[in-house]
Amino acid sequence: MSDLTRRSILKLGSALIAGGFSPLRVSAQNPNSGKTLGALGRLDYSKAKATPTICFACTNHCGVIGWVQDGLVRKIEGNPLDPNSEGNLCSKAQGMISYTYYPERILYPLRRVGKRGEGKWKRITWDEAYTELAEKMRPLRENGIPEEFVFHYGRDKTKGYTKHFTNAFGTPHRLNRRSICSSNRRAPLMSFYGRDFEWETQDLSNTKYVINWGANPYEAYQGGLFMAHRLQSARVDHGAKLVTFEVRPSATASKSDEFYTVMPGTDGAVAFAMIHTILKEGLENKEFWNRWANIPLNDLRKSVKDYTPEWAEKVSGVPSADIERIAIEFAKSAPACCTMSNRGSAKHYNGMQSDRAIRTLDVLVGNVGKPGGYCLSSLRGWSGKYGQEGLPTLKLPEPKASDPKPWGIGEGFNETAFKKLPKKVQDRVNNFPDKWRNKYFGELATPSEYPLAWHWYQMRVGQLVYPYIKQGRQKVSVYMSFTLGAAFGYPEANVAREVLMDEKLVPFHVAVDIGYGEQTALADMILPEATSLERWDYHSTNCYGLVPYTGVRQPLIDPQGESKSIQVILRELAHKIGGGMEKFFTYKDDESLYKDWYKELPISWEDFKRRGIWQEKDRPKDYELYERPLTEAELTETNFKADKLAEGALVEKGGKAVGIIKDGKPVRGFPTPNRMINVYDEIFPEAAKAVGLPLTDGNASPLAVWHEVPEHVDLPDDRFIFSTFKWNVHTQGRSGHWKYSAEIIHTNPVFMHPETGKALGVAEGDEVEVSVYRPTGFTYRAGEKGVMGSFKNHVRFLKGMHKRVVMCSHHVGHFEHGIVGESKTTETSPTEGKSNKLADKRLKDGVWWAKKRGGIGGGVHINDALPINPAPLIGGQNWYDNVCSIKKV
Amino acid sequence: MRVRYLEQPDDKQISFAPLICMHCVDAPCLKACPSKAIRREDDGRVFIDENRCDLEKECVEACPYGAISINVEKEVAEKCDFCTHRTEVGLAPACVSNCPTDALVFGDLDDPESRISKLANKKMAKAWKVEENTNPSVLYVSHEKWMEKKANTGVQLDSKDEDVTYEQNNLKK
Repeated sequence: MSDLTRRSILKLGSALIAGGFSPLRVSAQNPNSGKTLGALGRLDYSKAKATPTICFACTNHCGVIGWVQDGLVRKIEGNPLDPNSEGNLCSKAQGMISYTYYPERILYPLRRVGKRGEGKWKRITWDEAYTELAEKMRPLRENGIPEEFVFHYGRDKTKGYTKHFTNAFGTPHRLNRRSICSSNRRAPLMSFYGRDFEWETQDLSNTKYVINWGANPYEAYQGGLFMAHRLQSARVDHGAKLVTFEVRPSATASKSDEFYTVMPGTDGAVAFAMIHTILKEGLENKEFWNRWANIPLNDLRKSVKDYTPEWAEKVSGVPSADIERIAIEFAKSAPACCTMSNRGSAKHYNGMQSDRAIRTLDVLVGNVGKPGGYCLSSLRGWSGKYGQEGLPTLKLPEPKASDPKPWGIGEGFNETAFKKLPKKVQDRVNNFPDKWRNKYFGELATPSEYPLAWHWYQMRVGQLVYPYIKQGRQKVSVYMSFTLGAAFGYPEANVAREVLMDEKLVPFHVAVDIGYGEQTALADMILPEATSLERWDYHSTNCYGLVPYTGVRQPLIDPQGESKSIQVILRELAHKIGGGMEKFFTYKDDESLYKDWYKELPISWEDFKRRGIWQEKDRPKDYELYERPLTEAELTETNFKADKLAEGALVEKGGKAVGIIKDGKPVRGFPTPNRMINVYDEIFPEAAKAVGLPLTDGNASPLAVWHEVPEHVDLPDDRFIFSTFKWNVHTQGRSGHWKYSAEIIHTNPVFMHPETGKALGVAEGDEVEVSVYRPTGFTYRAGEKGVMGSFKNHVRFLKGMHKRVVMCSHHVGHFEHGIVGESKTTETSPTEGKSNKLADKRLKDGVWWAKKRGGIGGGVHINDALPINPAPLIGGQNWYDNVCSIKKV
Repeated sequence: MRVRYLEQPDDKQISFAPLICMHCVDAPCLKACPSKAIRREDDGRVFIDENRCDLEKECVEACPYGAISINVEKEVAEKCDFCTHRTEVGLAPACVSNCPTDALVFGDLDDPESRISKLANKKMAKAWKVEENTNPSVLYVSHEKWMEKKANTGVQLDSKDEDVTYEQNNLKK
């Protein structure tokens, strides 16, 4: 039976090529059974094998257990050993099964045969793929222009493996999408607490009071699942209170004790008024502030003098009495209280400063690092960083390729690449201080107009990659996209598609992905990647239980078809390219690589695989890390002499501060250059001066300051703010084709308050046209007049929406993503009736919501209509500033 | 299990509610099945014997909660049975063990000392659609009022979905 199945798929492949069908969509096959997934019956727990791994369905990366029966992954459950999830799980986890067994998953390397974007493909062998790719890439390396190879990823959780490849190749272009996601909120955190703390870890299990600005952990948030169950327990078990400021009734807002609709972009105003109130009431923690904040309390007091609750009410719409009361309740709960914020506050022109105001509240009441407070816990891979003392070192095994040379003029710089840059850019970079010149790698990796995007580390400005390629700021010869959905999900996604379609700008595009989508559709070659159920990864992240842990993603099944893990693909490609690159890729298989990666763990490899998670159980929780005394070992080779250092002096080792003197004793302090909390930071005006941002712009302020989103000033009555959001069952633009998620949410109606609809003269279900305008601040193409883009969609009324806001979710409306993602029937699929599909038989007739089956169809793609709008200095996309007009169709 | 998106009519709240088989003490499906494929187990669960189901779909129509659906691949009627395959090996039903915020509780309502009985009393948990006189074994805390409107219809957000989904998938003969 299995042989027959295998033969029939090969036949299918050649039949499709001969027929010129496009694209080649080959069914996932069950090697052991002719049955479809939905007809397999119940999982037999007495027969099935349980293997722990790490979920890849969203950014949480929960420890999970996959149950495999008869060679098929049948069920994903939570791993109780995961100290973050504590065995909990969300619906998205089953998405891994959906995408692994998706009938239109790509399982063989494909080469484009028609015009780019035409959708005509032929199946090729891996050797043919590697040979062609290596022949295109090798000369770049040999001719000293490795930077013309650009690697751009959507989600890379290999924790350094792809960087290992780009470094070995010699290109600095390992681009990401951090700016799309979270750079506006990471910058304030790193400014306050240092590079090691770009994400906080509130102690929600023990908190009594949480103020939430636009975060939605009950549905979608980095750490959301870990936070949600702790927060709910705190509320149910000891009466913790949750207050939320939001523009719509998210699940988190709906479940909050208090929920206030706030005008978009005014979260900061509310936070400033709370600082004002706490100071006015004398509820601040002077001792903590004086000990750890880097400016006198009086400076803060002066700066918030005019930010009264009455003022904030006018700006934000939140009643002043409530602002005052909440501020007082919050401060009185200290230290068992904390703030929470995410894109709702941060994805705005003023988001960086709003988040700095919110972060200031925690410092003001002194809850930082305290039980129930705003804690900071070790974040990244284990290599002796702050908060990782005493943990085993876990890192990519040697040999390690070194980083490429920074671009610039002088000894140790890449002058050739630098001199190809536009004169204006060269001048700007030449005037940068050394700390930035030493980190500059051209305009795609380190855009010179956005130095804070790469000051702390390389967050980049992903949404400008395509416009910059179009402007000729960087020549590209080979572009490799890796699980990237820019052609669907980036703002002005049409620009991404336009550039990807242009064979002069992008001569060769190879896409590595698990499925066919808008990005892969515009490739010249598609390399099928193994899914998260079929491959290995190292895993570590911040722990909301405040004790660091590590886990391993391990394969539950062999890769389907001829798909391969990204590690195998890059390793084999490196060997094909040769020229010394192969020396960095010595491992024969992934398991031996990861076994070495984890070799310092104090448990055996077999035991670790069986548990999936390791945590040093007796380790004290990460409370008040900054107060921990420096040990004898840490003090060796420092400038510390017991009788000589003054209060507040820095303890330095090799020119770098490692601690600070408090009460005459050396303690660790925070991992910032001055070991203090930088409520005040000169980096903002410094960056502003370097790029010509006027110092009157709020983004340039060294101390958090209120400034209005420029295009929201005097917003006319017929203009609204267009915003987007995420549903609990979806994950960005990645999940539109997951059957079970799409069944629950497959449309993205325009949500608005019923009164907004009344004012606009539209009824529920009416089709409207939403037209979006360009921003007006100091940013890309700002101030250009007229409609930037528009889309049509139907209206859905929702009480609890802010009356000036309309919003759509952004998950759906795919135009290249197979039957489910595109909400189609199988008549359009070339595999129809020809393959013995493992996937849901219901897909034979398409999905029930397909228009052809009388359904509503699959939502509207909105991202072509949303302008590229990077925040000044940092470059985070201001997703939630968009001004729009609405008319009934 | 179906998960329904809900909006509270008079408040600015949304919610998601799990809709499962209510394992009614007076189960209309049990009486409706012409092939006697639905039976009550000793512990009170209502169970569809897939080997006996010949897809008359009477049960689908009889259920006031829309809890029964058709598995087109297996060609049988299907519904929640509180995960017999899990409880018989000592695991909690999947929805209970996986709920991210421990909002679901499983246990013996006939035992006044059980955790679920105590919680049901304390939280004043209520059955959904009392007027149907089915005496359900699934109780909800605070959700049941605003669930009324979302009775049997389709899966989600848009009214047009509701016209086509449940009817189309499960009642079409």
